[in-house]
Amino acid sequence: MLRRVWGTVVVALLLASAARAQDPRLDRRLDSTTLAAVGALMDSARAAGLPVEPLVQRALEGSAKHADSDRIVAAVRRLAGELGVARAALGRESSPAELDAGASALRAGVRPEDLTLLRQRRTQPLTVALAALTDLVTGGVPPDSAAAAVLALAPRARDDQIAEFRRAVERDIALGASPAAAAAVRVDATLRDVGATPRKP
Amino acid sequence: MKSGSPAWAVTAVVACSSAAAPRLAAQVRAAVDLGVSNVHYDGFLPSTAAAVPPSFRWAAPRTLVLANGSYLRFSSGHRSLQANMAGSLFSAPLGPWTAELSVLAGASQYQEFTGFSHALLTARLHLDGARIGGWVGGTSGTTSFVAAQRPVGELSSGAWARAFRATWLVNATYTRVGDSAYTDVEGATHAVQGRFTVDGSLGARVWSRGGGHGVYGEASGSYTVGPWLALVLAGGRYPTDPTRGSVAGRYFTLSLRLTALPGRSRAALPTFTPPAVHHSPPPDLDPPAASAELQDDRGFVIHTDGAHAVEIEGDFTDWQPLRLTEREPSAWTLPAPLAPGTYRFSVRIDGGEWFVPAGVTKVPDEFAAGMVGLLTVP
Repeated sequence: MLRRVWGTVVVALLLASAARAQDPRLDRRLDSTTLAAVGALMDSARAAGLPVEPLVQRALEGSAKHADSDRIVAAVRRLAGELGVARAALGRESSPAELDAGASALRAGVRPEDLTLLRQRRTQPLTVALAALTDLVTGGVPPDSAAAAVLALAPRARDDQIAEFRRAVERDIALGASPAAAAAVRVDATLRDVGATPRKP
Repeated sequence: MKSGSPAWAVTAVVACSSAAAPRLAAQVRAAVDLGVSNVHYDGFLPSTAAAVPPSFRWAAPRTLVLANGSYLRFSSGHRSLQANMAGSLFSAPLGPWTAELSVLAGASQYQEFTGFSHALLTARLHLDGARIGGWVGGTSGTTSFVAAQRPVGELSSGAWARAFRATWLVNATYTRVGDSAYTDVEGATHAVQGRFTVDGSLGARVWSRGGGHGVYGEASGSYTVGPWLALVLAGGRYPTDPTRGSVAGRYFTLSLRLTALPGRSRAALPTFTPPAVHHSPPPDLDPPAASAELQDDRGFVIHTDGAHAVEIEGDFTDWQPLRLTEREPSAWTLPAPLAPGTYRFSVRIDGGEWFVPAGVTKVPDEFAAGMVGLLTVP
């Protein structure tokens, strides 16, 4: 029993040391137990080829907000999972920024299949398009409508046009339009701007 | 009416404004201008004047009501009284288009002369863009001098753009008042740089039948000394306005502006720029509490009035509070541009609660009740 306890302590110390070696920012802000658990998650993410900076920032956020260890670890674990799903949906060649934005979209309720379709339809980097998708869904546009709207714009619209589309929908919603209607109206307007034939979502 | 040598006028201006919207907290702003003016009206005797113009502003997502007045006391002992009110209704946007219907009414009286009054109905169609837009519109109404009424009709169109840290306007207006008619072409600009604010306009009455003619222009500059105090320098020449019964004149004013800071509202409060007869920027959302702006150079700015300290914490600060720098009045900036990526963040004002400013995506906070901001930098 004592050997098992000592073994656990040694492993925890080793894990903590490994985490400390990974990022000194965590060392100053997390207790040893949390540090060990977060470090393990970071190792797994790194081994899977996922970006770890978002995980570091999520842990630091939890620390800043005085969250308990379980909550911090759960948040980091959840983000690691979402990054993995985003990478599977968007492809292994996706940039860390795209993966981070994709994880946010998944968290908001966007389906992985829609992320895959977005990758297939758009040759430009997806960061802005994914951010617009997240913004629409968090603003109240149903995920399927939001995805359809962004997918309609994806082939031809520039990043600034997609960003303008997002701002226009936000403004319409603030002025009283229903989110889905605002997205539908604005996507038609934006498609006219890019010269494409409007398609109903 | 005789022309005479210019005289110095002392002007005191009080402006009170309030904005309120359903379900949202009200906001009040008040300002007092104390100044010295040199005024020379065409064909009128110049004089010293003290002016006190209160104004009221009420804004809702599709409604705007403005009211203002002024009392002028000239050194000759003469006085002038003016009052104006405008109300606008905006339609729900249809694509990039928004319709506006406005009612304007006003009256003025100068001591030696009986007063003017006017009532106008204006309809405009706005084309909105992020940085450029335009409008077309028409006005119909009546103006009265004593008991004599004259019909007023107006056609106007214009365009605006935001570039080089300034707003630029051009517009053309054809006006018919009774038997008089004239066409004005104008350009205007508004810019803020640090503590300096500059406004300018230049116009020409390119055609006229009974409405006078010539070139006119005005410019004003203000320097913000502190949250409560600004120095204002203004001058120029303005044309005759037969609708409102004002005669062309030129002026020069130096004044102190004392401002009562607005009460902060945590809620995002949509407001509109006030409609004007000759040019009217389209409705725009302007959350006075705090709003975030990602600039073209990836600089990040928090706009808020009346704050003494604005802090931010987020993925780009390792979630350590970072105090922003007020590089321009009410514009608080990060010390360096942001690298491309997606960032979670919150802000707080004067040590208050952390919150998400308007203008950014809000996502649920995983660690506390509430929301956290999500910013994507392309």
